[in-house]
Amino acid sequence: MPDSPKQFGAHLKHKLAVRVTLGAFVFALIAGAINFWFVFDLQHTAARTLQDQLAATVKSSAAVAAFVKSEEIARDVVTGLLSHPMVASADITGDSGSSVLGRRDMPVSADSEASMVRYPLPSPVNPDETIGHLVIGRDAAYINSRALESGIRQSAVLVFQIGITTILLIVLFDFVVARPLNKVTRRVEAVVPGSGARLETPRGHTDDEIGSLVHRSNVLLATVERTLQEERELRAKVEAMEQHYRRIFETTNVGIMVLNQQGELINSNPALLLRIVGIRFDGVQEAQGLQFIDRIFTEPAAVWGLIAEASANRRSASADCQLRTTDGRERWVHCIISVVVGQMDQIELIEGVLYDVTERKAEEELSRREADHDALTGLRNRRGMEFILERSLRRAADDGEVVALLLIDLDGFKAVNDTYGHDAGDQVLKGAAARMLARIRRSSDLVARYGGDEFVVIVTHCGTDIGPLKALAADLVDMLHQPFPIAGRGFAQIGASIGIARYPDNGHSRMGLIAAADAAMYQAKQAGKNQYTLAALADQTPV
Amino acid sequence: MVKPKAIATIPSGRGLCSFVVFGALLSVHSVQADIAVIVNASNPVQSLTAKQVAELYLGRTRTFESGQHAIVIDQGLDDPVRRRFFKDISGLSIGQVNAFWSRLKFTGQMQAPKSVDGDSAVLEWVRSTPTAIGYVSAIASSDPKVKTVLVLHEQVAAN
Repeated sequence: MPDSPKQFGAHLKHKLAVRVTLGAFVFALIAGAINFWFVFDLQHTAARTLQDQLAATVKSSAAVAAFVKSEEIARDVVTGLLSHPMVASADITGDSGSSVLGRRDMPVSADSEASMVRYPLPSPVNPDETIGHLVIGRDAAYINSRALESGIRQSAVLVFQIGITTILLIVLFDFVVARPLNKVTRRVEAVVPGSGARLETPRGHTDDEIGSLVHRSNVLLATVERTLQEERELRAKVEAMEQHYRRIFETTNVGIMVLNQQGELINSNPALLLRIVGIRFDGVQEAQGLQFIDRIFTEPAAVWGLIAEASANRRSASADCQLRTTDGRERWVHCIISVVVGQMDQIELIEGVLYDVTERKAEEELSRREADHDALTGLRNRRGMEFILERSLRRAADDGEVVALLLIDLDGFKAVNDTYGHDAGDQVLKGAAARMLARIRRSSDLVARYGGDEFVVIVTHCGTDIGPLKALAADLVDMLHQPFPIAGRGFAQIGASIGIARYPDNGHSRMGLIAAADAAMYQAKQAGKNQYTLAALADQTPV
Repeated sequence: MVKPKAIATIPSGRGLCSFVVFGALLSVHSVQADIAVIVNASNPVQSLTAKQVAELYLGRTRTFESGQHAIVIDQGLDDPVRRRFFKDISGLSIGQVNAFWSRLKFTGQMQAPKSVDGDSAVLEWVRSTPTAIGYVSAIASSDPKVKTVLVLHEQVAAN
């Protein structure tokens, strides 16, 4: 507590003072009243006793006065009695009762009558014989005033004593309790928890409540110190761990992002922004709040799909996703999305872990191409062609379109191989491919190497008019018939026999269509090579 | 200051042996004579009680029944007869009687009975004074000019 002056009543001393004073006041009132009544009564009793004693003192003289009927003696006795302030009236009567020997000095009131006592006077000769009476009346007013005075005085003394005791109690309390407590309080203020400091017990308070307060406070201090120490150690551990994870978070190549339900960036690690996304932000703050998913992915819908899947299944969902880039190069990441779902099934947070799979993706692409393409000509190989053909046939079936398949077999290619060597053969094959690609310009169409010296051309959207198809085939025959330059060896000339089959006229399946084209190609060979032949309709004789 | 009457019945000044001679006193007129209270023969009073005598001698009454002022004659202060007389009539010791009169005299109004020495002096006073009253040993009271109004027997006192 600061040392600011406390209000009156904030001190124990004052509280005690107020309460003790109030209590003492009430007690003093009650005690004073009881004491007054007691003293008052005592005074009256004492007055009665004194009355008896006075009577006993003068009894013999009064008896003599009554015996000899001496007014003088009676007067002496009565005067003596009346000299006492308590006595209001005194009288000595003879044996007949009526003869008044003494006198009355005071007016007799009813109260005085009540306070009058008749003491029998025995004869000096015969104690059994009563020869008269001594009558003494107390002065009630005097006794009352004496009793009152005495009662008030004694009550005042009592009240004074109570007052003195109260003050003494308050002062003692201040010395014995309040000051040591204040001392302890100041020491508590000065103690810094965890510093190892302990409170001192005020002198002379070792075995009382203040001592035990200090002791308990010290135990508490020790506990606090231990707790603080543990807390410090724990915090250090947590800090070390946090640093560790932060280093991982910051140095890893894995991108980590936390998005809100709108897909806006809340937090991310540097790896995500710099290495993976490659977008130059000046710090995370600038990137925060951006529509991150729409911004970085080429296909945001796919990522939203992942989020929906993760949310629905309550577990992470992952896929390879392509990133938007500005340099034209493809970048792929493997994206693992987890969703924090609230109680109402709403998405609260989206957590994403992204790592760069561009190289893996390129390798995959390469191996895929190797499987589908011919290494020499760069054209699709038979496997690749069959895949495309299947797809084209499905689409044609859906759209009611016509697809044409041209099976091209090079004539005289074996001779070129034999004459000029395999390298020359390869050059011819590459040249043939290039010439065919030059003629087939539509992206929906395809040139493929079917195997050895056989090629396939797939033409989609042919329509029912066979003219353009025939023109194409004629062009191809013509183009392939032109001599091919052989490096350093002059020219080589080959030809081409082409069989044409059309979906749906010549076959409904890939196999059927190829077989039809093959048959047509065979006919062209038979017919003298270097020409094309249209496959015959199934129910028609071949042309 | 007042002795109980029961004690007054036991003869004062005697030891336990006086009881031994007590029976002899009843039958034989002993040497220890009775006390006679006497007045002048002309006094109309025939007899007095012990109480009346005591009231006269202690100042309570000052007249006879006839209204005559009584002149009270006492024996000498230390006379043994006086001691017995007061003991018998009032139960008071001589010291008490003296103290009583001292107190009355002190107030200035009362006069103690006139004190004379010896039975003969008392007899002389009573014989010559018509309203006098006195007491003497019974042996000494046989005088025609005086009249015995009360005899204080020891037996009476004993009874």
